[in-house]
Formats: sequence, C-alpha cells, structure tokens
Amino acid sequence: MSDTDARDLAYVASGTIPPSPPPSSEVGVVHWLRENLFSGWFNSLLTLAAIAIVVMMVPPIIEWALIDSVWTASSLAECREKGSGACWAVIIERFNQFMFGFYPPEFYWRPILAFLLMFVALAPVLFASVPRQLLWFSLAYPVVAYFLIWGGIGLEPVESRKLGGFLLALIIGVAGIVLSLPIGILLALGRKSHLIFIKTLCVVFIEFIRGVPLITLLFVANNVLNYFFPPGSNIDLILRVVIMVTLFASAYMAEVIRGGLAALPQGQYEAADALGLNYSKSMRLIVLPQALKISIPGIVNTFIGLFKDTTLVVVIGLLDPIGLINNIRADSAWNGIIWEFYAFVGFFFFIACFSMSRYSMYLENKLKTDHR
Amino acid sequence: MSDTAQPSGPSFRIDMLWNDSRYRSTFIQIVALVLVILAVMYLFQNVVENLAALGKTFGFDFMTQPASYDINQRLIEYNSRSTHSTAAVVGILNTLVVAIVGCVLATIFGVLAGVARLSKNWIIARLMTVYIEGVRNVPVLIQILLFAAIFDEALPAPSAFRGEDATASMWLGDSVAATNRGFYFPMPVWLEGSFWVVVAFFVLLVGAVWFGRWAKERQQATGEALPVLPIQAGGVIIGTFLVFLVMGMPITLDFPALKGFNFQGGIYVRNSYMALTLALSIYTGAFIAENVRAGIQAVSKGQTEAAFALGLRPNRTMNLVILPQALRVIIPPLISQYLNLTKNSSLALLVGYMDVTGTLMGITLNQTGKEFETLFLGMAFYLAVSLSVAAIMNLYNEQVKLVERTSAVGMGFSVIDLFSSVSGKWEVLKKGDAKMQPLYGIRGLLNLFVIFYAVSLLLLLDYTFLAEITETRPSYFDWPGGKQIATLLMLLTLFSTLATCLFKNPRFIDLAVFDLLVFIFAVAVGWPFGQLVEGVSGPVIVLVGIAARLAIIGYTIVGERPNLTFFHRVRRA
Repeated sequence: MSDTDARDLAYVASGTIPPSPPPSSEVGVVHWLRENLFSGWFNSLLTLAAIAIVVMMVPPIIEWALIDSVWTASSLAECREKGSGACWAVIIERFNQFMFGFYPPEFYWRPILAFLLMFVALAPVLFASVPRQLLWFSLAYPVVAYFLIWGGIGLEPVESRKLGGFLLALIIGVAGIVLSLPIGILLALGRKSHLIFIKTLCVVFIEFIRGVPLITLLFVANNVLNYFFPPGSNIDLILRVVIMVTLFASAYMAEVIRGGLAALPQGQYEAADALGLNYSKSMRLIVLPQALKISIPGIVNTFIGLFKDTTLVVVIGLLDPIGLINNIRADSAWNGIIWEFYAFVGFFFFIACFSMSRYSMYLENKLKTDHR
Repeated sequence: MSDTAQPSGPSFRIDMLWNDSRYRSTFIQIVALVLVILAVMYLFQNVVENLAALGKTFGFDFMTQPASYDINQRLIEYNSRSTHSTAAVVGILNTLVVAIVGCVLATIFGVLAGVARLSKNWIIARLMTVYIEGVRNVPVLIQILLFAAIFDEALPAPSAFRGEDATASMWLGDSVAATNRGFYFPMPVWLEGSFWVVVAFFVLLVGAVWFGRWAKERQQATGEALPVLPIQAGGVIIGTFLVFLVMGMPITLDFPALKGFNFQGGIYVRNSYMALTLALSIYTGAFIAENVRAGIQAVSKGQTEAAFALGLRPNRTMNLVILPQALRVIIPPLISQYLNLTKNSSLALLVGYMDVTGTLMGITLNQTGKEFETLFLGMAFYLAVSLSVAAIMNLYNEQVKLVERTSAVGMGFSVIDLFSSVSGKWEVLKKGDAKMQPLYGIRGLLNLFVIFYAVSLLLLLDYTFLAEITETRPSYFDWPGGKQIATLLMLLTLFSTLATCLFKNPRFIDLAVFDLLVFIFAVAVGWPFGQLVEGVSGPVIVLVGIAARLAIIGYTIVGERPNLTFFHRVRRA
C-alpha cells in the first residue's frame, strides 16, 4: 500500500473552509421585510393599507385618550376648558359608583372582602397543591358571601336595589356559574343516560334554554317568575334574575360537560364497570373527575360569556355598568359625555375577559393529557 | 338435581326496586315522572292562584285587537289601527332582516379576518388579532350602543349637505347619504316589463346550474375541464342585460335627494338598524374568524403537500383539497354563530329598533298586560328559528359526513325500507361499508319538488299571516283550533320536507309521506283552500295538492331515482 499521506497531496484540502455568510438579502431586517411584508404586489399593497390604517387610527386615539385628556374636573364644562381630549374626570369622580353602584360607602370593605375570599375559595378547586381542608371553606363560601354583601347576623343589612356596577355584574355572573355547575353536571349525565324519560326531559330543557335569547329569560324574571311562587311571596328582583341566569347557564354548562364526557375514551367507562363499581361510584370516582378536568377551559369560557351577558340586565332596569351610564348622564354636571363611558366600561370588560380567556388557554395546555 | 339453584319463587322484596337492575331504571323513571308532575302541578297551581288574585285571564284574544302604537321601521303595511298580531309579524320580519343581513356581513368579515390572521404578512396578521381579541372580549351591547352613538353624534345632519359650501357629501357618486337621522340608499323602481327581466335572470340562473352539472359530468367522463365559472357568470349577466335592453330598460334607480329639511326618495334605513346590524356582524365576525382559522389549521399540512406533489396549483389546492375538508370543521360552529347573532338581535330593544322583542314582548306586553301569552309567543318564535336552523344543520352535517368513504351510516327505519325489501333493487349501506358512492347526474326532478314545496310554503305563509283580514278571512288567531293546528302542522311539514329535499336527504321520503297525511288532515278539518289562490276553487287546489304529493312520493319510491337516496343506498351491482 502506499504510505503517502493525504497531507502531502496538493489537491486535498488541509482544513475546512469557513462557511461564507448568507447573501445580505437572505438575512436580517431586509430579508424579514421582504419575506413577511412585501412578498408580492398584493401583499405589499395590503401592508401599505394596514400601515395607513394604523397611522390614521392610533395617533388620534392616543391623543384623545392620553395627551389631551383631563383627569381632574368637577363638570363637563370645566373639562372642555382644560383640554380637548377625553374627560376622564367623570370616571374618577364616579369610579366607586361604577364599582359598587349605590352600595353604602362605609361598607365597601364587605364586597371587597367577599371578592378576595372568592379567590381563597377558588384556590383548592384550581390548584392541587392547596390543602384539601380548604374545600370546606369553598362549600361555605356562597353563604359567607351572601351575608357579607346583603348583611344580616350582626352586619348592617343592605337593600338589593343599592347594588350596582361591576359588583352586580360579578354577583350575577359568579352566582350563575357556581349554581349552574351542579345542575349542569346532572343535566349532562341525564342527557347521556339510557333512561328515556330522563333523557327526554334533559334534552328538552337544554334545547329550550339554548334556543331562546337571554333577554327573554330576563323578561320572564321580571314579569312572570313571581307568578310561579306561592301567592303572597315577594321574591327580590336580583334573586329572580339569578334564578333565570342560573337556568340559562346550566344549559350551556351541560353542553360543555357533555363535551368533556364525550372526550373521555370509552375504555374509562368500561374499566369502571369492570372494577364492579356501580353507576354513582363510577361517575364520582372515575368519569367525572376526568371529564370535569377536560371541561375546565370550557367552563371558564362559559363564565366569560355569562359575564359579558350580565350587561343585558339593563333591560329590566338594574343598574349594571351600562345602566349607570344613563344614570350619570342624567346629572347636569356631566350631561353630554358619551365616549368616555363606553371606553371605560368596554376597557374594563376587555381586561377582565381577555385575562380570563388567556388563563383558560393556559389551563387547556396544562391539563392536556393525551388519551392515546 | 336438588342442588341446582331454583329461582326462589315470588320473593319480590321492596329494595329490589333500586338494587335490582331489572327494575331499577323503570323505578327511577317513574319516580322522576311523579316528581316532575308534582312540580308542574305545584307551579301551575301557584300561577292559577296568582292570576286569579290579580283578576287576569289567560287567552290570545288580545292578538286581534288594535295595537294602537306606531312602529317606525316596517316591511309590511302597518298603522296604529292594525292588530297586535300584525305588530308581532312586523317585529318578526324586522328580526329576520337583521338576522339575515347580519349573518351575511358576519360571514364576510369573519372569513376575511380568519384568512388574514393566518397570513404570512406580519402586520396584517397582527391587526386581525387585535380586531378579533378586542371585539370578542367586550360585551356586544356596549358595541351596539357605541355604534348607535357614533351614528347619532358623529354623522352630519341633513342640512350639512345643502348649499354651495356643504360640509358633508354623499357617498358613491351621490347615491348613498349617511346622516344623523339615518341612511338613504338608492331604491330600484320596477317599471312595466321588469317582470320579464327577473324571469330571465332566474331562468338563466337555473340554466347556469344545469350547465355546471353537465360540465362536471363531462369532466368525469372525458377529463376535460371547462372554464365553468366565467361561462356561468357571463351567461347570466350578459343574458339578463340583453333582456333588460330589449325590454327598454324597465328597472331604474330612485336616488335619495335633499328636499326641504330632509332627504326624499330612495330607501330610508334608520340608524338604529344600521348600528345593530353592523355591531352584531362585527362582533359575530370575530367569532367566525376564529372558527375559520381553526378549520383551516385542522387540515393537516400533508394534504397541501400531497396536492402539490400531484401537480395542483395553489388555487386548485385550496378549492379542491383544503376548503372541502376545512368546511366540514367550519360549518357547524358557523351555524351556531348564526344562531347567536339571531338571538343577540333581540338587543335591538336598547337602540329603539322594533324587532319582535320590542313589539310583541315590549309594547304589546306592557299595553295588554298579557305577560304569559306574549312571552310564550316570543320565545316560541326564537325557538322555532333555532330548532329549524339546527335541523337544517344536522341534515347538512349528515351530508358532508357521508361523503367520507367509510362512514355511511344506516339511518334507522324509514318508510322506504318497507319497499326496498319488496323490490329488492336497493341495498342499504351499513355503518362501516367502505364504498365510494357513485356520483349520479341529477335528473332535474328534485328541482321541481323543491319548487313545489317552496311555492306551497310561501302561499300558506302569505295567506296565514300576511293577507288582508276580511269578513271571509278572519285573523289567524280567530280561526277554530283545528284549523290553527292544521296550519302550523302544514307549515312545519312543508318546511322540513323542503329542507330535506334541498339537501337530498333520505329522510325526504318519510317527511313527504308525513306531509301528505297532514295535508289530508287539513282537508278533513275544512281548511279554506278555496281562498289560498285567487280564482282557483278549493277542490282544484285539494286535488292538485294530493296528486302532486302522491306523484312525488310514488316517483321517489318506485321510479328512477332522482339523486335522492344515494347517500345511503347504492344500486346493487
């Protein structure tokens, strides 16, 4: 064999050539711009149109909302003197009203405490690391919240009609979801049941509720629901609204949970049967824990929808944030303000709903366990 | 022998009711039934007592009394002397207008935004994300009120359009005026001869559909593809335009023009309607965009790559490979968004647009104090819309599902099964039968069926709710109960038969038989068929109705089948 070393040959490379940099059109900002914004005449046109829209819309809005806005004033006239932009002074002056309605200011701590306790009650439901004993508090929470908000047992009672603003929206939304959860589970199980009568009953209820607008159910709460109670009883309007909203939400909840039940592989049901568990045990121990876990993002989405829909109670004269807008506009000092109210209420709802929907997406990813 | 366990005679114990699976389900259902009956009786008792205490009665006679309130936007003749039932119909039509226009707009917004959000164009995708997330997370009521406020406050008054130094101008070449009193659009005026233009348009449309089918068959037979769409569109447009010219241009536009203090002429649309429709369609469009995006993303990338590997160009890949698969994912949530839009249109009340919530469940309720009756009717309307749309959607789902190769699902018992065993010509596909269904050419008869049922439905609707109330034709709510029920049944069966026929669903045959029975029932209770079409006597209509239905059913069962049941049945080879 030859003993010439490859190194001795002139035509064999003695080292690696360093890679040349990519052409300047294929890297960096220029490449990104060409690839993403100007990849063709149509795309370029779209990009220019979009930039035009942004340039036309954003600066005036920022100018109106931030630069030219007025934050302290006691009336609209004073606002207009100070600056041409938004008059946020009205929001600042009436902020408490937007939050609590006409709830007595000296008791504001009560709804705030109830709101904070809500998270304590939610913690054991959402996080497995929290001690299980807290679940008892979660069960007791609705009663605690009721007494904190409406008073009783040593606390000064507060009338229902004083409730308003986002407090009212939150009460209706949370009560609707919490109460609808057990009803929704029963309805979903009933709809999957083999018992034909129970199944029919559940299907009719669910389809009926889902087929009519919430507004008609609120009309029922306002006009008709009283007739169904024994003569002489006078049920508070907010309670009637909560009843109807609960029925409304439970139909949607049932569909969400039914989706969770359907997503569970058949093998889980069969395994529970094979272990000799009876119906209630197999549901309680095997099926529902998994199905509910799958349904949590859907439940959060239902809550978001319901929270947005609580604005509809304005049609029966309750003072939710939108109802308060008319109320404040009736004040001669602020007569004539429009956009600031919609901007504020809309922004508030946006923050609440957007963060909840992000949270539900996060949950969806976290809870994803493939059953394959 | 004596060891074998004997069933121990009549030893029924009471606890077997809930422990023994033989009795348990029956027992539970009976208990549930009793509980439900008790609950209903309790509630009913309360209602009766409460109503009696207030001196109220239950009944729908108020529907025939004069409504004595005005409705500012209406599609049919209405004045304050009209009845409450007419007011309700005005409201229903107003709701339907918002729903239909809103659904069309929402689909356009949604599809554009959904596709744009997937665009590689960074700035467009971001803008669409802002639109979708921004709109989805704010209550629709706020958006409706915001649009109403924008139209009322920011649009110019009609006086701003006047004079040399007008501060406002009309849009689209002086044809559309947007003012703070409302929008004015040009209105088509139908002169003599315009009828033939319309006829020509529809004839050409049918012709275009037939041409499309012919071209498809030809392509399947020979492999040659024709430029179908340009020929269809060109044929319809040029043909209609030629007839339009020949008839001496009988259709003109009436443009709105400023006269006095306000615009005159054209179609006047109130701001409340514009705000409601726009806000609802933008809101629903954001949800549809998410559905569209999810649907397109649900088609795996391998499909695109496979299509490219087959040599399909991007356009055809989209049309032939991606869209058919994406649509199957998109359509069901799309329909439920349509229903949401329809239900949300009840918010019209808050901007002063008189839909059915505003008339029937609003002013009529307050004037007459008939809470139960008005709310019942209003809910029944919304429920009917929801359920019929859901039914159509189920038919559609069944259809797109069954195009899949392996999932031909048996449909349970059908009237046709009675005949299929006799004739032996047809085979029922069982679930899992992996058979490609052959594509049959349409024989055109199905179109005739559709026309027959559609015309019957329209005639019936027109006579029942829209025709003028006279001595011989009292209001629907004054008819005897049998006729009222017969009318509702006829409307229901006609509608469902029409829908199944349109979707070529095999249930068509069952519903057609049911429709015949209902028709006979209506004849039996003496439904006034003589008044249905002016100048045609009752017996003729009855005979034609029965004969046509018999012919349709007979042909569907024994004749050469018009592409009807092929989704479930194939000819035995």
